[in-house]
Amino acid sequence: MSARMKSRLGLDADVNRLPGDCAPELGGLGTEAERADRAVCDVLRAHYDGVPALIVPSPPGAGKTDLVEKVAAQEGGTRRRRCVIVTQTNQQAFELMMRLRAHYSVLPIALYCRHSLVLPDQMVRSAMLQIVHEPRQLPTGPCVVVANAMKLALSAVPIASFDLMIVDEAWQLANHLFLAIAGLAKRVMLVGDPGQIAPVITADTTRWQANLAGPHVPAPQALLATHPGTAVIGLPVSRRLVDDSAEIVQRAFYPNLPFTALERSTDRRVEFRTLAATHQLDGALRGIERGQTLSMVELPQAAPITTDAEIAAVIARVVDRFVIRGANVVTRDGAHRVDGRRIGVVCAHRSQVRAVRARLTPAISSEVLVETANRFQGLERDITVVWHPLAGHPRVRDFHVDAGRFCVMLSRHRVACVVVGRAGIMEVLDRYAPGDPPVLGVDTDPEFDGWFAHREILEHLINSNRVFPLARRATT
Amino acid sequence: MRQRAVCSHTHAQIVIQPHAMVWAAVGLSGEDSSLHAVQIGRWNRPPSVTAVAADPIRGDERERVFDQVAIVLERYFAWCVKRAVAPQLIVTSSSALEHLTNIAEDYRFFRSAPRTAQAARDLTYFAERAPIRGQQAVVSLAEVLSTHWVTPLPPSRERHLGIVLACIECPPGADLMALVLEAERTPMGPVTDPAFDADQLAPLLAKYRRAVRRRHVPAELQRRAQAIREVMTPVTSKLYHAIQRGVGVLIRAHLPPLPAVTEWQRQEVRAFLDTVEASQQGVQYPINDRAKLAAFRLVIREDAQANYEAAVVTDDAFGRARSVCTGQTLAGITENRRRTGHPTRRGHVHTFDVVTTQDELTVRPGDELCLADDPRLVCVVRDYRLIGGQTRVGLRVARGMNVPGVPLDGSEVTMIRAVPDWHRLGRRRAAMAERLRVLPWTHVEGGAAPATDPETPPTDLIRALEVLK
Repeated sequence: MSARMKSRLGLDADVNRLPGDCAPELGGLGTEAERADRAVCDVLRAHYDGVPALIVPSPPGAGKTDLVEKVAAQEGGTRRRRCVIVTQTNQQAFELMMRLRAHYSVLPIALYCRHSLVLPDQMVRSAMLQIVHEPRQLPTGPCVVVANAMKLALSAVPIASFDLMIVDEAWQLANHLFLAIAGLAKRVMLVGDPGQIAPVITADTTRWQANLAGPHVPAPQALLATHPGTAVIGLPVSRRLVDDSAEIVQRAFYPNLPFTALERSTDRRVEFRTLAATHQLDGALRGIERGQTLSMVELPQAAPITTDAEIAAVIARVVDRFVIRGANVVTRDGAHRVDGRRIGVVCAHRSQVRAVRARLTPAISSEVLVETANRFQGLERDITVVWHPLAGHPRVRDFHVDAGRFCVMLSRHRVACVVVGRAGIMEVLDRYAPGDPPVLGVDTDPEFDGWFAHREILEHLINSNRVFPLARRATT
Repeated sequence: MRQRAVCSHTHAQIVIQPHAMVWAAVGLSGEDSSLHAVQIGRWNRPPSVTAVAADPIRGDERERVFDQVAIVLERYFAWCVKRAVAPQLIVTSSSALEHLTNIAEDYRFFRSAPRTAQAARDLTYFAERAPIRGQQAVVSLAEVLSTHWVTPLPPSRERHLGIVLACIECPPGADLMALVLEAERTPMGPVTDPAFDADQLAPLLAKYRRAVRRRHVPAELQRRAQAIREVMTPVTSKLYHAIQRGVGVLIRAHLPPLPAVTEWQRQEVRAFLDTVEASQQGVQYPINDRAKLAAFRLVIREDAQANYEAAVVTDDAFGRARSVCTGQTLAGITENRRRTGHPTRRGHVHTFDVVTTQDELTVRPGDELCLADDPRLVCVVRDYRLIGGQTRVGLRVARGMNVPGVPLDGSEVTMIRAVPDWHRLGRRRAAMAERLRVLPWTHVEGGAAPATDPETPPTDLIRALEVLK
C-alpha cells in the first residue's frame, strides 16, 4: 500500500494515544463488545483526566452519536459542567436533541438556533426542550447546548463560555470554521468518521493546497498538523457493519484505522419467504442469502450518461424484489420483515435520486429513503442499493472517484448492500492517468486514494464471485 | 462543423472600464515567472509600453523591463486613486493570469531590485483579487467570453482566446472547425510556440549569451538584443490585438450589466483603496497565510461565490432558466393554499404546494426557498411527491406570509435558493474579528493548551450516567 494511502486520513500509524499518565489499555483481548465498551470508557475517562483536545476517529456505525451523548451527559450531568455540542447541520442538531432528551431525561438541554428556523413539529410540541436564539438566553449553570457550527461562529457567545466543546461529524468541519468556534470552550473533543466526504468548500483553495492546516482541511486533520501530540482514541468496532462488509470497507477506506465488526454475517442475515423465481435479479439476492453482504449487479456497457434510466429501473426492481420475495432480517433477537422503511438507495447525483424515486413502486416509494451520499451520511438502513458512482462515466474524475463518497455508499447497510453499475468500470480504472502532480509536502492525493479504493472494492467483488451480470431485459 | 457560439446570458457579469489596461506578456519557456516580453496599453489604443528583455534570466535585462512595467502601473494606480476608481487589467486567459500571479509572488520581495519589487507588488493586487467571484479587477478574456457565450467546443479548448473568438465571430456558412484550427496555430498563453522557440528564439538567445560571455562590444550586444526584440514583439502584439478584438466583441454584444455589477464595482473600489492605504503603511501581502488571515480570505471567497451564483439566478433570465433546467430552482403552479393553527404558539401556519413538470429537481425537505419575484416570501420544503409526470412540492411559509403574502392558487411561481446578500460578509467578518482577537491555542502552531486539573473518575463510568436517564 502506498505511503499516500496510509496518510489519507490525516492520522499516523499510532491511532490510539494519550499524553502522560492517562494512556488507556490498548488492543488487548476480549470480545468485540468488550473492546467497544473499553474504548468508550477510555474516552469518558480522558475528560476526567483533563485532556485539552481529544480526537475520536470512528469507522462507520461504531456508535459515534451514542458516544457524543454519553460524553455530553457526563459533562452536563455527572460533572456539572457546561458543554456545547457542535453539529454541521440543523437536521443533525434536531436529531441529537431528540435522542438526548429520550435517553437522558434529567439533563438540562438547550437548542441554540436562529429565530426564523422552522423546527420539526415533534420538537415544537416537546415542553422539555429549551430553544434559545440569543447568547443571553443560554443557560447559566451546568447544561448541554446543541448548536450548528455556523450559528456559533456568527453569534456573540463570549470566549470560554463552555468547559467542553464536542464537535460531531468533525471531519466535515472545515478548519476556518473550527477556528471561529474553538475558543468558546476550554477543552475540545472532535468526533467523526475520517473516511467520509470532506467539507464542501465552494471557493478556490489552490492558495492553501500545500498547507496541512489550511482553512479548507477538516478540523481534526488541521489540529493534528499544528499539534501532533493531540490525544487520539479510535473506536475499534463497527456495530452497523457485519464482518463480511467491515473487512473490505476497512481495507479499502480505512487503511490506518483498524476496526472489526460486532456481529458476523451468520448472526445477522437475510432470509426470503418466497423462493427464487426466474427473475435475473434473484441471482444477486441468492448471494445475499448465502452471506455475501456486498455484491454487485452489472448491466451491459452502454453510452455514458449520468442519469441512466436503465440503472434507475434496475435499482427500483432490486428494491421491489426484496419486498416481493418477503425478505426478513434474521438476528439473534429474532426476525423482522423488510419493508420500504428498512431499505435505502444511495446515489451520487440528485438527478439520479429523482430518477430512482420516479421508478419505485407507488406502494413503497414514500417509505424507501432515496438520497445522495452527502445526505446519507450518518444514516443507516438494513438493506441499501447503491448506484455505482462510476457507472456511465468514460473516465475517472475527482467527484466520481472520491473515496469518501464511495465509502459512505458502501457503509450504510446493516445487513446487505447491492451495488448497481455497468460493465467496463475496471477498464475505466485501468485507463486512469494521475492528474496534477502532488503538491510539495502533501502526501495525500484524494483522486489517487479514490482510484485505489474503487479498484480494491471491484477486485474484491470480482475475485469472490459477487458480480452478477445482467441482460437488458431484467429492467422490465 | 457549421456552428457558431451563441450568447447565453441576458446580462453582462463584467463591465470593461474605459481606463482598463491590456496586459500582453510572455515568459521564457521553462521559466514560469520570467517576463520576456510585454505590451501594456489602454484598450482601444495602441500599446504605450513595449518591452523585451534580450535574456530575461539576466538581472539587468529583467530589471529594465520591470522598470517600464513599474512606471506604467504606478501612474495607473495613482490615476485611479485620484479619481477613486478601481484599476482593471485585461489578460488573454487563465494561464496568462497564472503567469502574472507567478511574477507577482516571485518578485515582490526582491530587495536588490526595488523597482522590480514595486511592479510585482502592484501586480499582486490583481493576482489577489482574481480568485474572488464577481471581481472586476482582472478580466481573463477567454473565460469571460466563454461564460457569456456557449461554444460547440469542450471546455478545455475554450481556454484559448483565439478559438473562442473564432467561435463567436464565425461568419454564417463558414467552416467553424477550419477557423478553430487556424486560430489554434497562434499561441495565446504566456509561453511561445515550441517550434518558434527551437527555430528562431533559441539560436538568437544562444548568440546573445555567447556575445555576453565573450564580452563583445556594446554595439554588438545591442545588435543581437535587437534581433531578439524583433522576433518577440510580434508575439506580444498578437496577444495585444486579440485582447482588443475580444473586448470589442464583448462591448458590441450590448449586454446590460447585471444589477450585481454595481455592487461588485463598489467592492472593487473599496478593496483597491484599502490595498493602497495598507501599502502606504508598509503592509505587504505575505507569501504564506497564517490561520487567521487564511480563514478571512476563504470566507471572502466563499461569500463572493454564493452571491455570484445567487445574482446570476436572480437577475439573468438565462441564468434562471439554466437553474430551472438543472433543478436548483423550482418553477410551477401553486395549488392547495391552506392556513392552519400553529401547534404551540398563537398565529397560523401557511402552506401551499407547487406543482411542477421539471425533469430534474434537487429540492429536499428542509431546504429554504424564496420567491424569485419578491424574495421576502421565504418557504421551507416540507415534502415532495411524484404523481405521474409531475412533482408536487409541499411548502411551508417561514417569512413573508403577510407581505408580500402567500401566492394565490393557480399562480405561476419561481422559487429560488437565495438572493445576493451584500451585508452578510460584513457581519461575518465583524463576528470573526471580535472572536479572533485572541487566537485559540488550537490554531497557534505548537500553542500550549490551558491547564486543567484532573479529577478522580467514578469507578464505573457508564453506571454513573444511568442516574441521568
